[in-house]
Amino acid sequence: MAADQELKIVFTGPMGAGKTTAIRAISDLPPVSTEVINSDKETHAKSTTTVALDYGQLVLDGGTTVNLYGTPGQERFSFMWEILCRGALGVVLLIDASSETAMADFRTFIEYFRRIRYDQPFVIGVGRHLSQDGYHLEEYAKELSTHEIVAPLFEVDVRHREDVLLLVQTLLCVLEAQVVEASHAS
Amino acid sequence: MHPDSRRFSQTVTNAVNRYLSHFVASNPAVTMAVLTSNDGFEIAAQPANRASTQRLAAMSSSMRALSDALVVEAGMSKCRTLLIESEAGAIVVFGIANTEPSMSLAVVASASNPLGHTLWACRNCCSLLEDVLKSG
Repeated sequence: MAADQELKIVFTGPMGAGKTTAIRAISDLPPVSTEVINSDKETHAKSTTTVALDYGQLVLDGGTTVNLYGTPGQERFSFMWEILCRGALGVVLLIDASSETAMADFRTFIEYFRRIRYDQPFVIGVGRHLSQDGYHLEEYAKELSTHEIVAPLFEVDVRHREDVLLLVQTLLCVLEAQVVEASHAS
Repeated sequence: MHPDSRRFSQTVTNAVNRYLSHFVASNPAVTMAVLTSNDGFEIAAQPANRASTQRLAAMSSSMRALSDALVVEAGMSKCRTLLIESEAGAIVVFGIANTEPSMSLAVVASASNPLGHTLWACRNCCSLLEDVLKSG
């Protein structure tokens, strides 16, 4: 990536997957957050929930600025998914592997974000994967292949800066590879 | 519909619906009024039972949260009211104080009445809602 370049990427995934935490972990600026009290504890026990967006900024060693946008997780806020994807180069999809609905969530987000942009570049971060009942990474990989999507898949702990940086840097590599591929094709 | 709407007594629910209904009926410029939790659930709405009111509830809560973030960024304390004007009318989101869960009233009004009159009517409606919800 060229120095002084500005990029936009989107963090998405279901409620409780760790989008706000991930952006907090790597943002060089104090992140903008729109968390409010979660009043629907029946659906999710989390005390707060993001209702508009998270925003942070990461400056890479070469000088490239990566603008980080986090989406709300609930489908009633899907209008924000579309708004936040405008101008975004790719998506980091976070999944909470310990959730009973992990695989269904995975499908929902893959399908929705692919409707927004068919060739959407994804990087997948699966968190809380140590849960015994959860799906293994291979099962997520299998699901990706049924959608004919090639996307890097990692086990992550989004509280750890290195794990989140790995996701962002991998997404940037995917984007760079696409640019190289396109230039070879032309 | 918000799961917490079951939490309110029938008396409170009836009073909220009555106030919203009266508010819309007595302000012809108002085309829609939605009482919404700050995390985007419709609690009550006039006109009732429309998909568009649920969407307005989610969107207005996002806008409210963004306004709160902007107000904090500007070094002010807390967003009280959000006003969006268009050529055809206005959308106003009023915070309602001291309720559990935290709530707002989102109102869509055409430009047929002076905006000041609509704002005044919204404020009065919010005061009434605040009183009845506190008691609930």
